[in-house]
Amino acid sequence: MTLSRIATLAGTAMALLCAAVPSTAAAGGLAISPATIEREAKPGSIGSVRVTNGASKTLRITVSARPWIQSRNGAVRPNDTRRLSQIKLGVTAFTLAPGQVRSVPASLLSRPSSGSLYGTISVIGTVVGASSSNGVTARYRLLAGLRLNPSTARRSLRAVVGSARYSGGTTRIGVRNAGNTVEPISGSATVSGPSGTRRVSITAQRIVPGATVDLRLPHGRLQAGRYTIALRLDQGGRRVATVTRSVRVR
Amino acid sequence: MITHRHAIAAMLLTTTLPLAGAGLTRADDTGISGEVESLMELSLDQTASGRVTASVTSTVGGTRLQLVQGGSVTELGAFGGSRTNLRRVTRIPRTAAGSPDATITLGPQGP
Repeated sequence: MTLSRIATLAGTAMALLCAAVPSTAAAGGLAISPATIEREAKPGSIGSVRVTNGASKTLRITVSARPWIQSRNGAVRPNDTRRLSQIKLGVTAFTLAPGQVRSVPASLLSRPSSGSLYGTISVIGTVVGASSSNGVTARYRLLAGLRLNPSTARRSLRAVVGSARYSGGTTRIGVRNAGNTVEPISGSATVSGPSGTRRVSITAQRIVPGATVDLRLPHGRLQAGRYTIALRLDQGGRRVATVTRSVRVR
Repeated sequence: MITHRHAIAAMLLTTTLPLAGAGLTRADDTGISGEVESLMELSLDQTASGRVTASVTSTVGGTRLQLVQGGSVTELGAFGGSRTNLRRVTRIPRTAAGSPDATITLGPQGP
């Protein structure tokens, strides 16, 4: 085997390998790390968010700290009309060339009166000099979770249970987080009525302090009639609610 | 018997393999002291007709991808656990001049 043939084979092998492996350098985008900052809510540095431009174009980056708005189904979105005034970001606007990385330091200015603070650090990337033939340019937005938890001494676990509603084969019970932590709330329920007695587990759900989320009871279809629901909720290793509710299925 | 030519071939092959595989580590991010930090990455590929392909890497347990344009929100996908190379395609409608740009948002499902 000649040296030239070896080199040809090696080059062919390299070409085949590159074709088989997706080039993530070309497909990279805007990245943040860590995706969640979680620590005790104490004044001072709370860490940094590292922003990386893996795209092939220069991005204009804006960073802000926003509180969450949580819907009844549990999903959160940033409140773009308010900022978390107790969070100071070291830099809020900058430009990143392709391949560049920049860290955004964050600090808590004062201890929250409730003992905790939850929200998001929003990173928006806009392509510099972008123009699109249809008049629209897609921007990037990455939301890092911000969890500044209460100290053990100040932790409050409390849930307020609302009424039960049955529709579309599902019973939903509104639960408000009256405590100051986003530790998941889970539990179980016993549903008794014309369809017999069914015991169900409730999937753990994180609820922003002060928000109300509908917990779903996966009991399946029920016959018409009145049902009694014995509900038990736990959070942080403690029982936070033991209540009975009734619901009418039509 | 290993000859000089065999050694050159081996060297060429061993140098091409790492170059080809370098991109595969992009989704990983190792922090200080060997800890693996959480990561979110969003790639957008937009065509002239307004079709956008969003590619997502997320190590956060429970992530959601949305298209936000003006006051309208379109869910593009939600997934629990860690995901890599998740792709969603959407089309951003043609808008009148002066309309707000569309934003593809990647974030956690819960707080």
